[in-house]
Amino acid sequence: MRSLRTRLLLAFALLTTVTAAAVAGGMYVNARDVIVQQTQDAAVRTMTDRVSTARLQLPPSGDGLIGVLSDRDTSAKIVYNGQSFGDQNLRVSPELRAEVRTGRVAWQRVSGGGSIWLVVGMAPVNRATNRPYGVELYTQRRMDNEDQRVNQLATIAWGLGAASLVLAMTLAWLAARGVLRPVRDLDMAAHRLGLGDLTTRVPVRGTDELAGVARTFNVTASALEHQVGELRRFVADVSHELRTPLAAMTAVADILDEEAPNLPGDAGQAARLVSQETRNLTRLVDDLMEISRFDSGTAGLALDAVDLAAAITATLHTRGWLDMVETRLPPIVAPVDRRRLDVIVANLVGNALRHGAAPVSVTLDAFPGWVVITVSDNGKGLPAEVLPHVFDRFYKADTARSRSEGSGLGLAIAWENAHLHHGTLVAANRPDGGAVFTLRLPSGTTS
Amino acid sequence: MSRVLLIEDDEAVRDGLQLALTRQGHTVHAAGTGEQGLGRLPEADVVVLDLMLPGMDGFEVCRRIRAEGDLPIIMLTARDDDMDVVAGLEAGADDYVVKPVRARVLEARIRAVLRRGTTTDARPRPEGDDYRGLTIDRAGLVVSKNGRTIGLTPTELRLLLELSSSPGRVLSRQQLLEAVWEHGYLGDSRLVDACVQRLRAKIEDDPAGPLYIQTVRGFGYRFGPL
Amino acid sequence: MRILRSLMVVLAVSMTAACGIQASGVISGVQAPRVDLSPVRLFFVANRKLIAEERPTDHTLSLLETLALLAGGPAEPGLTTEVPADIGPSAESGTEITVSADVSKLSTVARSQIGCTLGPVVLTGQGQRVGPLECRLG
Repeated sequence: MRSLRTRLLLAFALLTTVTAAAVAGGMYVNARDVIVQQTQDAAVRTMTDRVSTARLQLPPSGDGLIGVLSDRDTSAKIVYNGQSFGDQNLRVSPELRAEVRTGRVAWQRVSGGGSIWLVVGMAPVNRATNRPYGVELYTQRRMDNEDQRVNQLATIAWGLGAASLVLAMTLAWLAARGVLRPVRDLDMAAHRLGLGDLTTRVPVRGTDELAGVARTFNVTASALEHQVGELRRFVADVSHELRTPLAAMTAVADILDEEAPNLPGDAGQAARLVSQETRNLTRLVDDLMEISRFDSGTAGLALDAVDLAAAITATLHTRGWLDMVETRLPPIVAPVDRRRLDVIVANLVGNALRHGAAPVSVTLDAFPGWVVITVSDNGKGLPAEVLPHVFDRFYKADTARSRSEGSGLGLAIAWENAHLHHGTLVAANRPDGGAVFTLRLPSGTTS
Repeated sequence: MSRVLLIEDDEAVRDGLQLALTRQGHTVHAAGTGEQGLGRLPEADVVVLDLMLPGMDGFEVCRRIRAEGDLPIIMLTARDDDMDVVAGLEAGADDYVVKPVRARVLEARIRAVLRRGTTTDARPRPEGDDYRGLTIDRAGLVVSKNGRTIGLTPTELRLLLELSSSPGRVLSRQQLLEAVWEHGYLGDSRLVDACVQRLRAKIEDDPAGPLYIQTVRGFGYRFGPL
Repeated sequence: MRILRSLMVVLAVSMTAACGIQASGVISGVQAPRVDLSPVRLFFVANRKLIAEERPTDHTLSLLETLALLAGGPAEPGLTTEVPADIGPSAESGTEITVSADVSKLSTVARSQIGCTLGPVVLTGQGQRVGPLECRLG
């Protein structure tokens, strides 16, 4: 795919070349033909004048007419009765002789010895009787001077062509740059927009079509930002509104739990079901609100110097998982948001215990600038088609299992929490089976 | 058991909490607005106060309750109101729970806060009760400064007792949260900060340059040294 | 794009091929000029020197014709001739002219006159033979 710049440069180059070739070429050809023509006409006229004013001496003797016809640049020859007089080296072609003998003045340009020669011939006619004398006169001169002049013209033509080509390319390059910069800006802005920065805008310069595109882009980005904002606000508002009825239901869920065994028949089951689902719904709404905060950029990070080993241990302890998980937690302190770390670790370990298989292990390591927490299990690992989507919202790996615990937002929230810390969370499969999730958080130190 | 004043405007939530708390043995008086609630203060041992109220808002109710006495207050908040939590603590709340809340959880908090105001520690202190003008009666749960009794909420009292029980020793927010608020590992350390601030306002000569409760940056708080 | 590319090739070729002055075929012009022959130069005598008298001709004269003109005598006043009027040229062959008169009787001046006019010819007449004649002007 050729770039815009290349196409523009090529187009200009082509245009210039064609134009320059046509113009310079045309002028050159014209000038050359004029020079040649004028030279020939002059030579013919000179010879004719000399012959006209001379008086033929037949048979031709010594210098005579030869001397008259010759000069510094011209040599002459006379053919009479089968005999040649004068310079024998004239390049008279049979065609020229034939034409001369028909009674017309004729000439021809002949190449030889690296030069072009102009040969002029005539067979003078008796003034009294109007009959040809039977004598042929020929002169020959080099056209070197003219050739040189013509070649100079050619050189100039080439030079002008080259110069205009350079000029054209420069102009094309400048024009391309003027066009390409806004195009590149637009490209980068569109890319940024696609990555999620809905505040991206493009500076509008000038009033041409590019400026129009830039303006359209800005308007569209604004609309997009607004729309997405509305959407997110709606989600947040919905989640918020759900809270109030949920609060009432949650408040009495415990009552249902306590009374369930005492209820007759299905009523007890129904009560437990309602209680459980209220809990689930509450968790879902909480997760939705959490996600909303990430999306709207209002999620706050409350950093504290935390003993990570103690924090992870506490997380496992509160959920009763300490016995089920192997740990390797050296004492490391790093600035993290205690609550958010708990959310991440709880989600990862919970997933490992539920969807992976024992033994589940949690390790903690420190590197220059980073602390790394890994949660790994020995289950079947993550299928290849699942791996790139595992952090997507509401993505459930096992679609056959339509209902698992959790809202489907757990890993997405864990990922957002990691990123809020300016850290990373990645999922992979271990070489010897099982999945491993690696959380990296900045440790605030360089050692 | 105890008498709980529940100020919550949403009827369903109000009914639900009233139902659950009553089952646990508490006597619950419910009010739908701040004004109604304030009228029933004398009937309560503890107030459960929703911050989002029509008319007089929760913060104002909180301040009014504080102005009249040291009744323990537990705030009901929505999770995304971070600023509201801080504002509520500054207005004088002892603790807060996030809606939706399970009755069990709220009930635990109510009991904890009531405990704060009643548990006594009758062990005699080797250093005595007097700390440069500040007298702390651990048995009678009375604090006085230069002879004048200072009114503290149960939480403030408990915090002071905790800090002064090991003077000169730094206690982390975590430790204080567990000791005073009985919160688990994930308690909100802002509770400690807000309470310390209120305490200083009451007992320090110069709250900006505290003598009794000193901040040890990065570690926590310390009582003294004097 | 294809059209443009072939156009460029054509241009390039034509530009390089047609440079400089090229040879050509025969070019014709007007009719050949009309020219007079050089007049014949007959040498006569004046003041003991040979002077040429020019007579225009319309064709190339043969030796016989030239000799006959010479024998006819000068037209310009003041010129004399020693070439006898009855020299009687009769035949020529190459540079040999056969006359009817006795060539041995020709004077030196006459011989010079003939020599200057006709070139180094050989005269034969009445069994006598003179020549090749030389041209002495004075």
